Amino acid sequence: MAVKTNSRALFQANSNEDTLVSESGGNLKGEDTVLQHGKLHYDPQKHVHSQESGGEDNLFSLVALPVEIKLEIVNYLKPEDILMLSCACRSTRDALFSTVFQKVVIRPKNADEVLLRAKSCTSRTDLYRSLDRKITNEVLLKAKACISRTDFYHSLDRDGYIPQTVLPVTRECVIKDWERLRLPDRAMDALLHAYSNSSPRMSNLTSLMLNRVPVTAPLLSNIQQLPHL
Amino acid sequence: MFTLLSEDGISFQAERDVLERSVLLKNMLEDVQDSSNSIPLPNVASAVLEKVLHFCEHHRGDPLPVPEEDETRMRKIVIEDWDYDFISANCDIVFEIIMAANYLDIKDLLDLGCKYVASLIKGKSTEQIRELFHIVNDLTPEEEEKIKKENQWAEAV
Repeated sequence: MAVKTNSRALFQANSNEDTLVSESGGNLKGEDTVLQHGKLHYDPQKHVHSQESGGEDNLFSLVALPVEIKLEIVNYLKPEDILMLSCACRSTRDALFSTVFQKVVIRPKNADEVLLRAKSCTSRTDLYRSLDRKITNEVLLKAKACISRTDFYHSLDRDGYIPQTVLPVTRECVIKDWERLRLPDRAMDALLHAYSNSSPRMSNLTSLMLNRVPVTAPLLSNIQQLPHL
Repeated sequence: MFTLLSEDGISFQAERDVLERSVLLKNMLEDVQDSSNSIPLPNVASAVLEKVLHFCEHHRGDPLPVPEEDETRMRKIVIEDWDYDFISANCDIVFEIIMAANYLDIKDLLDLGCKYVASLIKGKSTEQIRELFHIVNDLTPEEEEKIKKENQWAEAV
């Protein structure tokens, strides 16, 4: 079987990639407990509960799956879902923290609100301000708990966020595919700064790869702060 | 026709192109010209093997799945109607099916099982995931508290 460990990087970009779709055009939202699929109404919770083989002690259960299959499953999950899964028990936490969280890929999002705003802003500060105005008071309160402005920025869009928990276990970071965006310099500068701002807190990073990335001053500054590089 | 023997001793017959959906069986069949001997599958129970063969029979002749181009990218969950009906009808043995697909190296069936399980996990809290998959929480209250603090970002928006 061609399953590679560490094949899935945590940091992901495209927010349109989480929808469960049938080939005939049915649209299934994975977040719902009840999945609707054409004529079929299915309650997975009820069904999985009723099975005898679902228990942890059983040879066939989520916990008992080999790590490489767990990694195949998390290939389809967003970081927040992976974190929720990793906290289910010691076994899932050990399995996921020792594998999937070790590699982070920082790549741009396409055609999303952040990108549109980046294009229209004249400076990095403007970009942050324009994003800030969209936030409700509740989110603002929670954002205060974040370590830096970057955390705050990323909390607007969890697809583009590297969870703090994960930063210390990250060993490998890849920053790629930014040149293809063809953004004005100021927008590229702002986005790259924001997206790489958490990298200095990757305290155990041993490998950093830049691929098709303009080396802007803020990016260079963030890289220079990496303790092991 | 070739004969497969499940771990509980039940025989199943299938044609070569059905069995060749499995890379393991395809490799075995290349060495076996004589179809009179049954092929033992000591890791697959009959109830699971029956479903696996049903899947392979439906997909006989389909192009074999290609490996992902970019393995670092989050994959989209796309499931064809027939596959969805198949896997949801067999949700009570989904982990057995996944393990059998892994053992027999049937990539599209393994992918289907993983997509299905991922779709069950999506959007759920840790507590809901435990409940759904009957996972016993063996973390200490202190560990749980620490994890909860660390994960606040995931519940922030």
